[in-house]
Amino acid sequence: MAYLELTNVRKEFAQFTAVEDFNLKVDRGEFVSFLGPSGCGKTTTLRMIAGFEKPTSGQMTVEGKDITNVPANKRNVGMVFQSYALFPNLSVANNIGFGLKVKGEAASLIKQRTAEMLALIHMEEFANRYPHQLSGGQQQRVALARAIAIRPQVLLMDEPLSALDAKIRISLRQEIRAIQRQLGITTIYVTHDQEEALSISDRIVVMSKGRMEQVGTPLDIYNTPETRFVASFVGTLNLLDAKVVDPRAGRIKIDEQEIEIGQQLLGAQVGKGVSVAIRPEAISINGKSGGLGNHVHGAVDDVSFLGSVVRVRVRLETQHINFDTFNNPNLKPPAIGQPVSLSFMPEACMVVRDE
Amino acid sequence: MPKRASIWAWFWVILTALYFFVPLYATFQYSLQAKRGTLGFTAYNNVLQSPDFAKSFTLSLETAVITILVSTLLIVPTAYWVQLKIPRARSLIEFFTLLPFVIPAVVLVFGLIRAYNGTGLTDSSNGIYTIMVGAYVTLSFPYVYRSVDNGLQSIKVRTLTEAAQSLGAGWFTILFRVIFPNVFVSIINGAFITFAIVMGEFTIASLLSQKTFGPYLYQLSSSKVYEPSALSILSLALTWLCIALIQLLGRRSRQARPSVF
Repeated sequence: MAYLELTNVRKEFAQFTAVEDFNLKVDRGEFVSFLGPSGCGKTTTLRMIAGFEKPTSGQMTVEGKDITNVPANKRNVGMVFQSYALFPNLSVANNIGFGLKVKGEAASLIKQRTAEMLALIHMEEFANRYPHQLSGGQQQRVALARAIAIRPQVLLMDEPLSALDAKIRISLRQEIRAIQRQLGITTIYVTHDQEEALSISDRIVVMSKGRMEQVGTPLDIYNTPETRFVASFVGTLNLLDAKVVDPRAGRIKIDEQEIEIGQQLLGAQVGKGVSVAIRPEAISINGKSGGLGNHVHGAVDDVSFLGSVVRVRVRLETQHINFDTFNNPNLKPPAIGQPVSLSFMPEACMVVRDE
Repeated sequence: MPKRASIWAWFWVILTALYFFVPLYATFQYSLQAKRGTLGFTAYNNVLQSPDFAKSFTLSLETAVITILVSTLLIVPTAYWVQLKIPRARSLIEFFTLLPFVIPAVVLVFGLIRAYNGTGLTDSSNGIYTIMVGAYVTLSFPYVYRSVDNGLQSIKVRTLTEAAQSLGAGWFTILFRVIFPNVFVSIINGAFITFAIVMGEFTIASLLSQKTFGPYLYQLSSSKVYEPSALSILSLALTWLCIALIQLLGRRSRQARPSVF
């Protein structure tokens, strides 16, 4: 039995369906991220788990207990908000101890647990400060400590790092993951940042237009996207329109250049249009991947220097293909207009559904 | 050009100050002339030692405190609920709270008496007093609601509520441990203005035959010469004290919490 289970959860706002057919099983101690663009329904789903929104239909259970109609304050679910939501009138220690005080715990226990939490977030010396006296990163650490002080069954995090600068974001996400692993707390994390989701999660739920597009480990999501949306949303990807040449042999053509895709296209008819995705890092220039791979020819259209990586855009006939190469100070990047031959292994080609 | 503008600015400032302070000074000067030939605080002594003054002042003080309590307990949860659940109704609620500005006190009192006639409230002095407090609570709406509403706008009401809920807090706890403390300065602002209004209010108290500070001041002016001026100065000083306290608390609060939200 799953620890947290959402079955056929649906949420409608007047004429608008925010979430539909949402089915998810989360194991105890698992870290699951909801990833998707703004308005995809990820925060609405999180808010339904928290009890702030009531599902139009469907069921939610924690440890087998139906929580669908349980009020938010009776769910024992910790929540971390994007805007920290610390109580401005309370000190750091009192913010952390708030939930325990509400539960009517003894003063000595509150003091002890607050000290534990302060140690966990390495902010012992900030106990008597007020939220406005802390930086954004510190406030969010306090918000995390406050949420886990009550020993919630599920920890929910709604884009907790979005308001922070890039450096703090990276260090804090590592800290969040370390604390989550240390406490073994079941966590649902909402983000629109794919890098964040890929680096922190056990599993990712990619969402679009209120629906689950794909559920899988970060590696699954990145390496084998099932839909065109997942392929385009997660990572940088070349999405090319192709036509089936030989379904059994797995041969297709892109702009009249024939390639092999390493899988059979059973059921597809010759001439049928398919979408093929290839990661830029899976492509090399001028046949470096050897004679076994695919080769396509084109001309360099654009060169972008991205620091450690140089991204080159090559024009085929009607479509473009990007490839990444490591920046080597001793080698000049290709010139614009230069004819090039690109190589990639058949296995690097992913056929994705349009929906 | 800027110099000319500056001169004119000062001219208007001084003119306004004179318009305001000259009558005030004249009243103060007059209040000091109770003893022929010398300036002194005899009128103030007479006023402060009068048992009627103590009685009316205490009654107004009590009334002001009750009004503030009732008004706060009514307005804060209402303003909070409106912001949280029906933000679209904010302008409508604001319109209702502004009605005391357009409804004259005489109309309000007769309306209340007619509305509550036969309910028992108009048959006893306690009942009439209750009607007066009710009228004062209504008068306080524009000040208390606006002040509290502004206070609520400056904090993230929804997020703080949800944060408290996720930590197990019910509505009572949220209201009294989260919302009230965070709009305390706004409540104080509204409360002091209400206090000043209730302490000096005449029409409603007089029409309801209540011996509060306002009617006492009027009665005094028809029987004494210098004491009404002394009492006016005292009542003005009380109002100024209230305004100064609002400023002080507001400044302290701003210093204590600079731009958290």
